[in-house]
Amino acid sequence: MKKGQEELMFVFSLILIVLVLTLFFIVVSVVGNNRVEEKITSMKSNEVNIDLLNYLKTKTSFNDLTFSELIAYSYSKKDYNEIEKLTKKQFDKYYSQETCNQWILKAEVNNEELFDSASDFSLSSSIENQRNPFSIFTKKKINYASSSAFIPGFNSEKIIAILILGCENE
Amino acid sequence: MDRKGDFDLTKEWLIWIVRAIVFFVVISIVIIIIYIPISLSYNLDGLQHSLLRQHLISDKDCLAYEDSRVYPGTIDANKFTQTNLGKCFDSTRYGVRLSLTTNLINTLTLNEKLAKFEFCFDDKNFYCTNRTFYVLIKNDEAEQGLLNIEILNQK
Repeated sequence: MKKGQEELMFVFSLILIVLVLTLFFIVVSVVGNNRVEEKITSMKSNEVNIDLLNYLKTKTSFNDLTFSELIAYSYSKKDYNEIEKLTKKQFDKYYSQETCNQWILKAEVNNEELFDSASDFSLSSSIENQRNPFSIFTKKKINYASSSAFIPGFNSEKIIAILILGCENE
Repeated sequence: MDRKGDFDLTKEWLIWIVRAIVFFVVISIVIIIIYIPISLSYNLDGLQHSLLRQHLISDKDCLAYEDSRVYPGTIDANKFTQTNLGKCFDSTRYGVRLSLTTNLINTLTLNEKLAKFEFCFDDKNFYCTNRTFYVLIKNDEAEQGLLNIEILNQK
């Protein structure tokens, strides 16, 4: 290799080293700034227990039965109109104006759904809303948690009541 | 001009570019592998607030109603006092505001010095949560109501 070529090679090598080091620092700074944050949310579902148990213990206007008794009664009669109507009324009264204004309450026996009642702003539409690219411009973030409880049926069936609650700023 | 020399220089230059790219890719992968576990952090603020709320609602020394047993989630209206909650919630790290709504709205603030909820917009320095529970309230008779718990702590 001639002397002129060696010098040219030296300059190229220097440029290459500078380029590699620059990219190296870019990678370090980008990776270093992106902290991976792990949020522990499982305990939050325990809080929904409080909402669910209080709902089940609440007395309804239907023959002075509690909601849990009314679910068992509705299952025995296979008529869920009253429980759906009263559940919606109850949740809309206490949750519509509050931070946890998205809810679904449903009951199942052996994985077969008996009824479900939900807030007007449904869970599915809000999840789609979260995926909306424009949602990054809003600070509204909904956290969902769920809880379930067994209710004994009149013939010892295991009815499962499930509450899914979506809360803002929690 | 030496044509062969030019060709050698270009060839060598190309080999160096390929080597640099491979070197860069390998180093980047090593950095990412090392950095991800280092930069992993656990955000426990939400969990701590959740535990504090459950403590306030479900502990017999705080708000939970008790006769022969404790009823978690059922609020004893007589326990909703500044003195009682001040005793059960003995922490200087958190500011708490509780509002119990029935026909009336009854509000209590714990750690008043810290409970400056107007600073919650500053989410870099403060962590705030706000949760409303549907509760049953035992007074002379059972009532339905809402218990709102706001908690704030400095990050």
